[in-house]
This record gives sequence, structure tokens and C-alpha cells, in this order.
Amino acid sequence: MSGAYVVAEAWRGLRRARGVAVASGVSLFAAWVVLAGTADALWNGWRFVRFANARKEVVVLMKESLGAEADSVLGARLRGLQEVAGAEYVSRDSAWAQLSRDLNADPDLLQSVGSNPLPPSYRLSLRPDFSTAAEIERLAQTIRQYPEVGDVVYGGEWLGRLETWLGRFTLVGVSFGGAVALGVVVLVMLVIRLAILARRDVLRVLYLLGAGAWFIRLPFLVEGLILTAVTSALALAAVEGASRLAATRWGGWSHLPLPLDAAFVGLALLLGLLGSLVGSWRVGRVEGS
Amino acid sequence: MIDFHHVTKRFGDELALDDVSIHVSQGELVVLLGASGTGKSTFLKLISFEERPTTGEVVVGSWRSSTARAAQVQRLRRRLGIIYQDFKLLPDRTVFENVALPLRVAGAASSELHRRVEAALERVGLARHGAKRLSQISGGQQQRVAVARALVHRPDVVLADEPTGNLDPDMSQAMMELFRQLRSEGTAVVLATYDLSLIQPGDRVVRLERARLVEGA
Repeated sequence: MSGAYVVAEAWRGLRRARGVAVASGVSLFAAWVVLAGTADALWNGWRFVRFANARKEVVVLMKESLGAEADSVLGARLRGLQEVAGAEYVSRDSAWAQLSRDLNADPDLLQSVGSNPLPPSYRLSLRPDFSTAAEIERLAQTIRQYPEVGDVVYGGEWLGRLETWLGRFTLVGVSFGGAVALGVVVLVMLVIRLAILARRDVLRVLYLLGAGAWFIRLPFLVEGLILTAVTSALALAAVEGASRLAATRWGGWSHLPLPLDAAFVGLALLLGLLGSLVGSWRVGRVEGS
Repeated sequence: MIDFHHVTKRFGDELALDDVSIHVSQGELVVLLGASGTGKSTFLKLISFEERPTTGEVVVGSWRSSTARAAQVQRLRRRLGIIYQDFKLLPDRTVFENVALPLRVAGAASSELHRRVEAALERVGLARHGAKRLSQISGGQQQRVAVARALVHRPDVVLADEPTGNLDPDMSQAMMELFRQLRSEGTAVVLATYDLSLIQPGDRVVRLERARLVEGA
């Protein structure tokens, strides 16, 4: 069976049931926009969290009694960690000077402290691919085990909370997406069933000419694939347009990268194929046998 | 080629065929006579396994009505050329596309498909009508399209249900000549009609009377 014939049959089927094709196309487009929009929002949320986490500083506070040699040994070990992009040594004096600058408005407070109580420290910057709250906490726990280390501190608890909430939203988004995907499968299935009903006369002739199940089914499968491919691609284009608009307002906003776009269309095709398969399940039955 | 073994077919209480036995050999043309409603179409449907006997068995080539499953029925039908009383053409396609359908079902290559469809259209006198839609040709021409579709894949058996019903006398005789030519090429032809004028010496004639088959006109 030639591929051109199958595609031509599928196209003929869509044209024959134009009204159904347009109505289902609009519904599918709306479903894909919701899915792609949700994916876009979550993608940008996670990008923001990673971006913020990557700029978060981890401070390794050292024990008081260490000498210069121990300091540099610790520095080398910290720089050797795969999560660490850079480690800047801050001596006790530098830390005191920084505190003095920060509390300039209240010198009495510094005088009341007396001698410099601050330990030397290392300020770590992280590699961008190690930047979730869980990863930073794991890193902190590792460093705390080192004998030279007194404590490890890092700020940004709010980012941890944001990450938790984003994780929950992602879960909700995935569940919602699953429901929409199921709706898409049902919709495609119904469209294909209607197409089969509309082409009963053609199918009857094909049965009588000895057409096999796949000869009859394939055009319906391609019909489902055409519908989902076109509508998902249009929806992605619309969401990308909206993303570009959003980017003019929020500089960091961006659309899904191309591989995710491709995966989205691939998923749409898979759902279309599934719906078409279910919708045309009984169509291969040979009449009169 | 075709064997009916004590075939009876009932539709509810109605008896369509009663204990019919017949053998049709390869290269034989059988004219099946009978008034409307005497079971001619049922007889043809039993050969294509569109209907199964209530009792008895129909054997076509190596296919048996008692055992043939879906895939075997498909293979059998690809070896038949059927001309239906109502043509069963697809109105949204061109003449060429209609005639090409059995070859598409059989998975013929594009070049062979074109060559065979053009030859079949030539054979029924519609060589220049391939690109036309069915709505653009007459009822008689549509009947010839149905004949071309039945011949295009060189079937082992041609079944024709009133194949000249919409044709003028000259064209009817031309079609009968075509069927006789098929017979001489080794195809078994079973032709159901009420028109006695189509019969010529040498044709095997059987009649359906009160659901029973009787040899001779």
C-alpha cells in the first residue's frame, strides 16, 4: 500500500467531514494551548529557581584554631568538589573589615564586641547544574563532615520554599496534563468514530474488494496524526508568541527549548495515534465473515 | 473452481435457496436466470462469502464457507471480480481511482497500477474518461466503470449481478462479448440476469425457480 494513497485517503476523510474536523481541531488546539502554556509556566518557574540558586552563596565557616596550611588544604578540597565552581578565601581580618563596613552606622556595637570573634571562611559559588535546594543541602552536609569546618551556612530559605511549592505545582500540572491528555485521546477517538460512520459506504466497498484491516485502518490513523500534529504545532506557535510577549515584560521569561517543543509534538502524535487506534479498533472486521 | 454442496439459505422464515448443488469450472460462463427476488443475488453473495449457507457448503478454489475466517475471506475476495447491481462505486473519486481500488487493495506498484487501469478502461471503452468524476458520466458509463473495476486485477472468478441493466442493446452485447472473452482466458464467470436476449449458444444456463436451481433455459 502506498504512503501517498494513505495520506490522500486521510486528507479526503478530513475534507469530507470538514465540520467535525474544524470543531475537533479547535478543541484540540485549546487543549494543546493549555498543556503547552502550563509547561511553559513550569519551565520558567524552574529556570528561575535554578537561576536564583546558582547565585546563592554557600559560606564555609572554619574552626578558630586552624593555621594557614590547613586553610589552603581545605580550599583545595572545596575546589575539588564537583558542585563547586569557585572558592574564595575570606580571612578573619577581611571578615571583620566587612562587618565593620556593614555596621558603619553603629560603631558602638563593634566596640562592645571587643576582639574579632569571626572565623576565617570560604565563600563558594556553585556550578549551574548543581543548584536545587536539595543539592545544596547535600553539599552542605558533606562539607560539615570535614574536620576543619565549623559550620556551613547558606541563605535563601525562601527559595527552598518556592522550590517546594513549584514541586507541588508541577505535580498538579502533570496530573492536570494527564487529564487533558486523556481528554485528547477520547476526543480523537470520537472524531475517528464519526469519520468511520461518515465513510460507511466507502468501507463497505473496501470490505467487498478484500481490503485487509490495516488497509482500512491506516488512513484513519493518519487522520488522527494529521489532526494532532497540525493543532499541536499551531498551539506551540501561539504559546511561543505569548512567551515572546511575556519576555518583553519579564526579561527572563522564555519559551520551551526546541527539544522540549519536539517532545511536545511527539507526545501529541502519540496521543493522536492512541485515540485513532482505539477509535478504529473494530473497523478491520470483515463483513460477511 | 466453484462448488455448491446442498446449499440451503434462509433469511428468517424466508427460503432463498433450497438444496442447491452446482459445479462451475475454470473458463466456464454460467448465466443465472431468474425473475427479480428469486435468489440470484443471494447465490452470488454466497460465492463471495458475503453470506454463509444455512446448511451445506460453498467451496471457491481452496476456500470453504464452513471454515474460512476473516483473513481468508479477504484473500478470496481479492481473487474475485464483482459487478454489483447498484455498482458500489465511490462517488467522491474519479473513474481512474474507482477502477484502481482492487489493485491498491492488492498492493500493486504504481507503474503496474497505471498500466492495468488504463488497459481495463480501454477494454470497456472508457479510455479517455479516467480523470472524470462519477457525477460527470452517465449511468451506463458508470456500469462500465464497475465492469472495469471487476476485471482490472485479473480475477479467477467474475460475478456479475445484472451487469447490463443500464446499458443499451449494443453495449449490452459488447459487454457479453467481453465476458465470453474472459471465459476464453480461463476466468470463471457467473452472470445473474433476467434478460434472455443475452444468452448465446455455448453459454451454460441455469435457472432459479422457487429457490431451487434448474439446468437449462
